Amino acid sequence: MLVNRSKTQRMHIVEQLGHALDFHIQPLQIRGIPLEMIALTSLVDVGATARRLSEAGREHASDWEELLGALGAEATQEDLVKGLLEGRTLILQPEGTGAAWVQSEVQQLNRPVGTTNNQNILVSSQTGFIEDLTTNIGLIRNELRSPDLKLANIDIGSREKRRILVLSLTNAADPAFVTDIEKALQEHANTPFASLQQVSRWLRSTPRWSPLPSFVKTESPHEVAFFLKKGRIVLLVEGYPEAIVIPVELPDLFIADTDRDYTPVTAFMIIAFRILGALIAIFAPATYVALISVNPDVMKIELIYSIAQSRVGVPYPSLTEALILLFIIEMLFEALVRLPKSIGPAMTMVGGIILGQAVVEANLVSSLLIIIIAASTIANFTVIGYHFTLVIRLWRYIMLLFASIFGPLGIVCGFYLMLSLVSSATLMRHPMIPFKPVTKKE
Amino acid sequence: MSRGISVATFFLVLQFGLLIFVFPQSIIQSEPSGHWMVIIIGWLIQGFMLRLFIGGLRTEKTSLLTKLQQSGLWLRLGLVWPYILSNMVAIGVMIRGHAQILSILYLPQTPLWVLLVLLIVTALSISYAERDSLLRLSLVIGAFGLPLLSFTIISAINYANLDMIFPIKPTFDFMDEPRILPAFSIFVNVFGLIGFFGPYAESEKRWLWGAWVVSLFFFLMNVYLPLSAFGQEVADNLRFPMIVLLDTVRVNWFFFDRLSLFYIMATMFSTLINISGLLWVTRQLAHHSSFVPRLITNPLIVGSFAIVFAYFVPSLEDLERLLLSGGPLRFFLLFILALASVYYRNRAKIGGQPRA
Repeated sequence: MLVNRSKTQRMHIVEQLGHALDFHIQPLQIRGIPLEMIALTSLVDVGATARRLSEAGREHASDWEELLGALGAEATQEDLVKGLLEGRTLILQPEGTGAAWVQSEVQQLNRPVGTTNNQNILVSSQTGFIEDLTTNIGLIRNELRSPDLKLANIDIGSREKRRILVLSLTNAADPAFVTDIEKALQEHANTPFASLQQVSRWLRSTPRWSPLPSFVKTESPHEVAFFLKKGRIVLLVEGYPEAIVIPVELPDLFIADTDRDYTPVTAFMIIAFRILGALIAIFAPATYVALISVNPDVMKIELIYSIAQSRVGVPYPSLTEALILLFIIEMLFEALVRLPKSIGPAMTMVGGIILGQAVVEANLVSSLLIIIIAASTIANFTVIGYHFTLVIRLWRYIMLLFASIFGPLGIVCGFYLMLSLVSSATLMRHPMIPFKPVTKKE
Repeated sequence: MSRGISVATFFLVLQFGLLIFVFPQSIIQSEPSGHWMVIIIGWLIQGFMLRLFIGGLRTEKTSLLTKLQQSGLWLRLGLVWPYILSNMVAIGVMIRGHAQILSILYLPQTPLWVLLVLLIVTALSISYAERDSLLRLSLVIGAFGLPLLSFTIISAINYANLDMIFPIKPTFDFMDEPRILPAFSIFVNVFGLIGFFGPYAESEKRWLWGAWVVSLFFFLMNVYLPLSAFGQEVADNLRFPMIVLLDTVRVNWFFFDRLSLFYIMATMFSTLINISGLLWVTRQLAHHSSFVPRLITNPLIVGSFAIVFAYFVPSLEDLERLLLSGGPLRFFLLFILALASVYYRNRAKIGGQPRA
């Protein structure tokens, strides 16, 4: 039963959207019945839509209801302005009554499905998500053809709605956890959407100063299928070409889904190198400062001489030296992210020359420190997930501060603090360090 | 399975931090030979206390912590609050001892109070979290600390000379040697925490007993490695025999000269988790109390008290004298708590409501 609405609905639409450049209202006659077609030309190909409607209504229709049936129109049950903003096409009778939605020919605003942009994938599916939610769901269904895949839709926002899909596998995920997540999102359904971090705060009450992320981001549908099978929950946010996987677990930093394609021995080796990389990234600069400034006596005498020789002429303490070099590296990171592709390689070369040669020759830093910082920077990226590399980058400075004051004891204390943070991090009773009996899921 | 491993690791991790302090010299100085007997007696006392605190191998449903939280006024005044005070003193002793060792070995220029504050502030971080967070932390700490410890012990084994440990015939000289008392308090201190992390399932208890068996290895190594390297006459005069031994060890392929650094790092992890655990238990015991008890047992307040107490201990010798008198007292308190644990378990078995 299609609902007739009052004449004021047309006036309301014109009032809200009539000023917009892409607002389009077009009189049509289909099957001898005059009507008006309303759409936003930036979202709908109005020409193609009008042609399709005309072709659909070739024969004569006796009344409005019969016409709507022939066109396959849908009742308008929600806010008409919202529907137009979502890219739907509205048809109205000339008096402004009898509104119904018809199938739109959408404008191609989304980029085609391609490879991942910010994630390198080795020897696995290279497909990456795009901004369109429907396409992303299709990519996941392509990887996981399971009737157990459950999708819950939650619209967040007050005036402007942002769609969030909650995906889970009913035979793998904890149903109570899924319900908690959906409930937590529903409670904030009228809060304007600002960022993923805001969503994360809704799900987990963590102090603002905690640097640990509560989710993993991935651009790969293949990886999403892997996480869903492990019982995790995946959020797809409209407009984001990434999936958000919750809860985050410490093994996510070191174990990728592609590791399962290797033999256990080689997979173990790769994981061990990642863990070693993370430890080097955190400890290396702090160890240098601790051993040079506070406790040089713990090293072998030959090493002490060698390090002392490399520091001849450096006019400030090792902490200052380390901070200067780390700051230069951080500036290089941030600049390279934003540089146009044509300038990037040149800047890399300039940065390398400045860092590698000139600064040592000018006795601003020692050559050993260059090696250590370079190793630490490279090791930082052995960890999986950009969010975690940021945490490691931050913790490097905290360790540096502790090490400069307390030496190796400071490193122990800094490491203990980090482990305390990680051990106490939970998301709705799911800890970041998961120690559960191994159960085989799908 | 996972909780069993965490509890067992927690047990081991708590132990090895305490071994650095007075344990080796107490044992070595208490007897001219046959130190293994003292160690085994201490270890068996530890086993006895473990049995009292956690019961047999059957799954338990009673939690000593919950019972004490719900206890009446007299039990709180007579047992819980003395235990809380004893925890505060124990934390003070630990941070003083370790800060002094660090000051002597690695940080002679750093004021003592700074080291005391550093240890407390670091340990505070997890004392506000849940019990499971502490167990997870112990697992991660164990993953780093135990290999470090194993590395130092294995490196030191090269310097062991089996002839030096003879004669191994034990004597009973330790019975009238007061210097053995601190060692016994170290044997039992770990129960101040383990007893409050229950209730334990059957599998967890098996892991815990397994950890108890493994702990004997650490006790024996800490005493017999320095003995086998230096002999009784030399080791008897050393304050920190294990550290002196590790400073003597030379590993050619390694770029560090002083291996004791790694031993100290491993024991520092253990000390920190000991302090965190004690702060946590102290806070939990007054969890259902009114505002003032909760304020007093707040980890920040307890830590501050411990720092003040530790700062006013004049020297390491005074600290050892404190352990001589305070150690048996703490043992006695823990023994009473263990008996309370037995009482609550038996009441639960016969289906009665234990009078708190």
